Amino acid sequence: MYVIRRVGVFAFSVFAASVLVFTVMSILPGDPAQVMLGTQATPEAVDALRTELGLDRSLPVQYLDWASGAVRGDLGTSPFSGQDITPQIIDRLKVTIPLAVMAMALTILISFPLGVYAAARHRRFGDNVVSIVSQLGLAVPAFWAGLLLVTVFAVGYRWFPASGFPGWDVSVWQSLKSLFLPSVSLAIVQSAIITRYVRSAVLETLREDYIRTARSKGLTRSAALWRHGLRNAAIPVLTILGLQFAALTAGTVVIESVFVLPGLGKMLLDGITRRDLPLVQGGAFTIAVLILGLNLAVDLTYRLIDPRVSEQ
Amino acid sequence: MTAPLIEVEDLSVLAGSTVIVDRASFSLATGSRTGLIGESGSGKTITALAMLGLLPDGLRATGTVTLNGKDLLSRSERDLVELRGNAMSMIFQEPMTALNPVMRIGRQIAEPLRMHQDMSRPDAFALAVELLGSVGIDEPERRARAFPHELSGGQRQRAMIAMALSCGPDLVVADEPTTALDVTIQAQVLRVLRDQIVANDAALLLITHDLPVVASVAADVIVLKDGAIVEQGPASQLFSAPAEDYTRQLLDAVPPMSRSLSVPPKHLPVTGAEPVVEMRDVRKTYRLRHRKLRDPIHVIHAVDGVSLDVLKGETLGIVGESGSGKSTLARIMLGLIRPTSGQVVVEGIDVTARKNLRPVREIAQIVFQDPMGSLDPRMLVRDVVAEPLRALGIAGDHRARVTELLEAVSLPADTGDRYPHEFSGGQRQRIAIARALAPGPDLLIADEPVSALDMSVQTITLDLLDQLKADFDLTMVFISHDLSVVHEISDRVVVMQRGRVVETGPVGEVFGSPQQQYTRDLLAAIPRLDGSFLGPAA
Repeated sequence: MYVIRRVGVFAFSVFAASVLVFTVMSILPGDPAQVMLGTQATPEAVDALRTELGLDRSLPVQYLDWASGAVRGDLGTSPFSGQDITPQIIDRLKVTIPLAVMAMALTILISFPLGVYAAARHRRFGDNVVSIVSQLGLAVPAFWAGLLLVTVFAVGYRWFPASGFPGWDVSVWQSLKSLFLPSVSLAIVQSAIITRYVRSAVLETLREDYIRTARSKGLTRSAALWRHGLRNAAIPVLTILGLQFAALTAGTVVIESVFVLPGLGKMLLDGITRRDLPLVQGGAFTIAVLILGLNLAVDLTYRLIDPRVSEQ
Repeated sequence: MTAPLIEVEDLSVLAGSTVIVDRASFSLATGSRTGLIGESGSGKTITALAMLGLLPDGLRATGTVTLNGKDLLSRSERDLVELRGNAMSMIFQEPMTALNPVMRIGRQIAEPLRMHQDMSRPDAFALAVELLGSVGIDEPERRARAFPHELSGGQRQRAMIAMALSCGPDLVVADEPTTALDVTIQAQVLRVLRDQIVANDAALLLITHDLPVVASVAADVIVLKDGAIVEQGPASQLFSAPAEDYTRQLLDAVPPMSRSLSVPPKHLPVTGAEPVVEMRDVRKTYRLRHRKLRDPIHVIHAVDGVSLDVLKGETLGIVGESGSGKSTLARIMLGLIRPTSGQVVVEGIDVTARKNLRPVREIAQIVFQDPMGSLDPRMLVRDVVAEPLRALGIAGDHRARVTELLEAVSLPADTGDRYPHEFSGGQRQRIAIARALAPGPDLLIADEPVSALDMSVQTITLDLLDQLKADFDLTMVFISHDLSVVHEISDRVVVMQRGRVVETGPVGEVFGSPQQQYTRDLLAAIPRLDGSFLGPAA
């Protein structure tokens, strides 16, 4: 029942997102036909093209046309390049998704141990060091961290490329390497945030009665934390991870520009500057679906961690 | 005489320079059952935690605690870990929060067995199932695979007992083990606890504020006040002829019903008065969502066809166990919950109509159980008390009214300028009462108003409510799971079970010669100061 309800919520949200994206794009100034033909075009030519593109139909009809395409995986054609949008987006996702996943993996690798460590050393030296470092991490903008990383590790040491992306079919290893610095710059801020949440979630759990019970059974402090604390602490952290993953996906737009990566964010930015509205519409919708899918995944993961969830 | 099992000598617990436990000395023999009693804040729990080496950070223990001839306080944490859950174990008050919500019951019980007795996982689980059976849990195999939230409160506490006894400890500390339970469940759990302690030949240290509970289970009693031991000795002697004034005060606060079921009621029923509240065939049903698609829709009848009148000037007591629908009924009376069907009229106003909420609030007010949770911590007491006046747009000098109300509930004049957290539980409940009286209601509904309070504070609060009832010319509805408290304050009583009225009548009749088996069961489950109610150990 829980799963069905969650999937239902997901489906409805995708529908709502599609309506929202479509409506916003239709309200925005900039007629695709005008854009394609340039400023010199005669009004007659523009009108003819509008008819050809179906832009003279009513908005609901246009929406249905676009949405029924989207359901079949066809997001239309870019009036600017004349190419199909879906294959372009898939190409771009091959950069953006690995980038986001790598950044999130780094975030988890950094923040979980740090947060648990800080909680275990509550109000002692180690905890304070972690607090200060995470404050610093929060204060650093991702693009600036990116530039700094490039200066040191790409320009200085030449361990990683400064920008660009060779493509997975050219070299998997080189592709991973070119994604590394961008994911680190994204992970810095995220780790700072998540570390704080992990720390406070673990501290909260350590104060729970069942930790005291566990210790009364003969578990050491650390055994009580590992066996009883962490799984309980994971519940609130998971919520934040989901939200932050969404923030991180949005953050890829900036980072892809800094590192000149051919990702979805870069495509959106280019699309906006060129007023390629159908392309932007497809890209924005894709990001919305990605984030909603992620939230669905988080909701379903709750069930694995917390037996109480499915019964409410 | 053989050497005692555990010997506590000059045990002090300090938080910085504040003394929480002050040079406590006592000893427990093998197989003995001792009650540690005292009011909240007397240091009972801290004493026990110090014995097990489980003091919260920032607290420090001095003195000696000797178990089987070995001092515990000077032991390393590594040594203590070997003893905890093995030679000594603890049962905590609230089994919902004291059990890990995301771990199956069986695994939690098996954990000490795995650790201390090197049992394999299947062996430990099998023994956990057996232990669950021995504490009287039906279908132990299935319950062992359940999570804590899938068990009832009584079952959870039984599981907790099974867990504490799993390794056959020499000493079991039980900290208010039945305070969170209904009276009939309390009787069952106390019986299981006592029988299991006897069967295991363990020593029991029972911490509680409830003297009749101690009398039922323990043979010896230690009285703690402000961290220091006031008096100790055999329960029979201490309860019949206390040497210290403080012990006598504690005994005086025990409701008369715990001494004898045939005490006459304090109040006689009001006759010939007009009804203030008229309820006719009131029902409230909740539909639970199904967990699985094929499950039938679950309908809960929280209130199931209740008709009753509350007469002007009377105190109507409503008793029942948790889930009996008594709080739902109170909220329906106030219009806080809309009934599914039925009529509710308060002084001629139809409470079920949404537009009547405001006039109803001026007539009827409520005091809730938890005086901490029901007061906004960021509001001055003055503003808390004046809020109903502002909310209902009642004109007049609010400041003067607040002063008058605080005086009526016997709080000092400067109370208004302070925050709720600066007060004790009893004082906070007075603030809540002052707030309820602010709009000048005719009807005061008190929902478990003294359940969170110490017994001596309970008595004072009940006397205050009685006094206010006379001074403010109130009609009162008093809801409680505690029959002896209801007996103290009510003229007439309504016994509820599963949303229905089981029995009703003047207090003297219902408690003196109950007509229904359920009422008799409830009365039989009241712990008695003479220790007789559990019967002999199995």
